[in-house]
Amino acid sequence: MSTSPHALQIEGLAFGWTKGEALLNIPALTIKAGERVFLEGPSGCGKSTLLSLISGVTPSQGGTLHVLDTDITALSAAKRDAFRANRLGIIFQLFNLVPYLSVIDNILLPCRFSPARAKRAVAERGSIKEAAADLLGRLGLDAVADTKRGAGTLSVGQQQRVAAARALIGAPDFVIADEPTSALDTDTRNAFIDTLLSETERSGAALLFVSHDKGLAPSFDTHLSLPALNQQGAGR
Amino acid sequence: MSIANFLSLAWQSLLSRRATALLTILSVALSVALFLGVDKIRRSAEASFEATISGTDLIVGARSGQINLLLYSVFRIGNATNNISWDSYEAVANRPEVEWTIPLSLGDSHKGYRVLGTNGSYFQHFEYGGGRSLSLAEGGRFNAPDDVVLGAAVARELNYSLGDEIIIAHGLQSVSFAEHKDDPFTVVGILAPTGTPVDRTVHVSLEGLDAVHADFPSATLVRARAPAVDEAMSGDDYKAESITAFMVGLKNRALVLRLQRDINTYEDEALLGIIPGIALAELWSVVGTAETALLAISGFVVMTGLLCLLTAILTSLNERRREVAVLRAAGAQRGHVFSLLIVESALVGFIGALVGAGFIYGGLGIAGPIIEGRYGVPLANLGPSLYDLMILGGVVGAATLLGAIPAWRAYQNALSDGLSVKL
Repeated sequence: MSTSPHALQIEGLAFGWTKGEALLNIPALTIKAGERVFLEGPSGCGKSTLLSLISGVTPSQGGTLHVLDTDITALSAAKRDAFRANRLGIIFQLFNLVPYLSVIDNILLPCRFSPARAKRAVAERGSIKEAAADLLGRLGLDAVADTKRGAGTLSVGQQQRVAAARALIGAPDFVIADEPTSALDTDTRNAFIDTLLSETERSGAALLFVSHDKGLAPSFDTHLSLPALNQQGAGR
Repeated sequence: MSIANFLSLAWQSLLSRRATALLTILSVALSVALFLGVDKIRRSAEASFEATISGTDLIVGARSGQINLLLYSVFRIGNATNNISWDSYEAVANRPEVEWTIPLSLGDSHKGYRVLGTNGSYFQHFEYGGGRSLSLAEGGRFNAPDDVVLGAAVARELNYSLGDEIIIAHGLQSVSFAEHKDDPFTVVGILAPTGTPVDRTVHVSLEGLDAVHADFPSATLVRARAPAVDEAMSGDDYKAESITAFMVGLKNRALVLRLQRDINTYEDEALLGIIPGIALAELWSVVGTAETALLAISGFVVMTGLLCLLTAILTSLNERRREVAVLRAAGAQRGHVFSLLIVESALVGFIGALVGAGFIYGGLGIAGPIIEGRYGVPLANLGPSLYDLMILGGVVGAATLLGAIPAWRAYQNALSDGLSVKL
């Protein structure tokens, strides 16, 4: 359900963790709704910082930052939190899951925090549990769906797929993945990317996939390089 | 996020750290149990203290101090400075407003237990614990001069039963050289437990006590038990030379102050009349200080328990930065993170308080009936009270407030960590 023409619009975005020392200075970056973008960059070039800004966890310091056609710089911290909960799906590099919660409870977390996500999941599958089971099936996780054990006991590959299911539940408009495959072996990695692409295509969500591994780029609609975009990044 | 979901999340988080959580809960529980326990002991001590005597309007003895008179006449502690004459006793006893009197003659002992010489009026009028009369567990009252009625604790500790013969020593030492082996007394009755000093008292008639003092040969005592003489000698009409003190019951309590004034200004002998309730309150104000100190100490223990709780949660914060970041990425707002830690702290405080209260009420439930049966101290008034609820509520409230400290830290961490969490 993507009603926004743009997933991301950045103009003149500047940011630095310490005053007077800019880490990011991005004149322009646009991602269309439903577009699958591969953003490549070496470690330390500000990828994670950019994602923190886009997801609204870290407040920006200047420039235009529109996510899903919403000016999130104008939102209060609480509204940004709510916006993220309602409309974004986020996958980390590692340790994506709350180890003591079961697989199902992990996947359902966004529905717990965001009534809007829960509502969409219910509209789609009848109940949030059904929606979670459905995702688990498509991500090939039927075997672990019923485990009462904490999600921390799963293999890394399984954990990342559970994280993907969590990012996708309740049809967010924009999925952000921060190096989600760097801890996976080649076979698992390819399977994971295929799943992520097909699921976002299915739901029509935009995808911003960040990695240092250029070899993954061909699967995506668009290939961007952060050092090329970032005027501060030159020489770093 | 609904409250049920919140509680469930906090609960599962606690479960994942169950070893630490259990220890924390235990430390809170023990501190709460200690506090409630000390409070219960304090209350029951005060209650049983106030229950030592009731229904008596005045206690009269030789002039000394109010507390001294109370101590020796009621608590059997210490000694009278002087005896009072039988004439003075009768002068008061015969006044029209006086309904009853109980003469008390003290000063002797049996194996460390005080001997009280009195008459039948004692069994009839003495009351304790808010109007309860003495009752006999076995046997009957003394009739003859060499009859003795034992308090419950005396019979239990010394293993006496009806028909046993005991020797009364002159003076108060448990081993006395002035024992009158020729004058054995016979146990004719054993009182039911009262939880008062009565339990630790050996009761004989006034004339029996005088017989010990007069060092009557045993033959005289035997003769005195003959039915013909019995009526005249051992009834309540027996007049002793002197007695130590006596208790007074009035027909109309309103007259107690007037009688007290008359007694205190009695011209023929230096007498002192005290109102038991007032004297008890004065004595408790001295004794009760220790209990208050104890309560203050246990208050500090509760604070220690709560600090344990705070330490445990603060220590866990670092290892939980990742958990918090994941929750944030999944849509948790900073308020959610804040509330989660507060709920966790409140939950530990709540369970701790509940377990602690369980220890105390469980313990009282098991020990109460045993203590009441054995010592006659009723623990019925020690069940859950409004005050206990306030204490428990206070502990949970304090735990919740303390939870704000780690909650604030987690909130700050969540801000500085952003989405890229340090491992």
